[in-house]
Amino acid sequence: MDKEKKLFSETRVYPVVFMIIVALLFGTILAVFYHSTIERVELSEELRFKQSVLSLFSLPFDDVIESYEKHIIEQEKDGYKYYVAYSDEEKIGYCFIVHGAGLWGSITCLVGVDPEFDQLIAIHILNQSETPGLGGRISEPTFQEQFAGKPIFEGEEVINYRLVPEKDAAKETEINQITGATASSKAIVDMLTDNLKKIIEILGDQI
Amino acid sequence: MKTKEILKQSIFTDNSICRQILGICSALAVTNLMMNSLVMGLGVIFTTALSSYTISLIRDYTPRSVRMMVQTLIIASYVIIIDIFLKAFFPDISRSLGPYVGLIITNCIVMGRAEAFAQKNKPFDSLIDGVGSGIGYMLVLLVIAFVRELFGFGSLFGFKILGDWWTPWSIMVMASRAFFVLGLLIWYINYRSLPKQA
Repeated sequence: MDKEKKLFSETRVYPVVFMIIVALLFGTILAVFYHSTIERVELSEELRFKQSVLSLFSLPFDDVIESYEKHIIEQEKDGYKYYVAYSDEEKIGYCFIVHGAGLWGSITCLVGVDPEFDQLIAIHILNQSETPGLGGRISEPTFQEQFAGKPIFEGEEVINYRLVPEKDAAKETEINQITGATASSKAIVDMLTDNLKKIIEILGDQI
Repeated sequence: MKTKEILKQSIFTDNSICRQILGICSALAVTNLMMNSLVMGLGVIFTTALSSYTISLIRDYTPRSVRMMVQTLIIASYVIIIDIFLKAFFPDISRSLGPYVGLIITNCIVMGRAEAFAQKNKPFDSLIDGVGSGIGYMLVLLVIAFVRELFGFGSLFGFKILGDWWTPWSIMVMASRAFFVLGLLIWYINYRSLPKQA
């Protein structure tokens, strides 16, 4: 075969070279785009987190950063970070970040607890990747609002809320589960029990 | 082909869902709420249009043996760009979408159009075809979501339409129920548009 007449685009290496060039090109575009927006993303995530903590305790968040500095104190014990909320010098509650396994991915959630450690003030799901429209509905206010004012202990034990079909919850130990998303509803309830147990172990003498 | 013809063909005559039976998985998954369907539709329009355009631009240089890898790479890049863009500039929308944006990569329509159209047509025509396919997809999604949200929640776009007397058919919210709606829709459309057999 006459090698000199063969075009480069007909050689065997061409597809490999082409693929590498295309991958590098798009990789570079994505990297540049990612780095040019990362600050914005991080800033908005931080604002969102602070706003979530404030709204957990129904504190004002017209100016998120100012209000956060005024009301929330970040504390740490044995490497475990948690947040204490104050309103007019008075302790109004604790906030913990808890993690758990959902059906498809991990769930991150804020839990607000009253200063006496008797009941939940509120929960707020920060991140989840459950099925949109089914398990994803754990992020809806109607589901999350159910946890406000729920007791933390049942007898001496940390409570594990019982799930009942939608609209059936009557007792304060019951939670309406989401129809078609039992696993995701269960994941939240179990996550709360497991994490509250751990938190009480860590902070036992301080509360 | 003229622009208008391409649009008509990609939206109606060759509708991705009803005529080509593509993109069914996402059509089942996201159609329990009108809002989800709308946003998913917009994402698919954007991705299909731009990836078809790009693939068509480099079609003469792309070796046949690696064309699918190239297509996947381009489609995935655009989806990641949408994801980052939404996160940076519209964090609220990005959060409500969650995993939807990533789901676009797996939508067969995007790659289907790349293979069937963009690979052999001019860039501008491919762009139009991508937009049309996306619109066709979105229309079908909205029709299914209309039925499912109305009966399943008694609302449309989150606004209550049916009063308290309405008992929501929870079964409509399940993904599998979209099969019934979609099946009836395809049946009706084929009944109306296919030549009747003697």
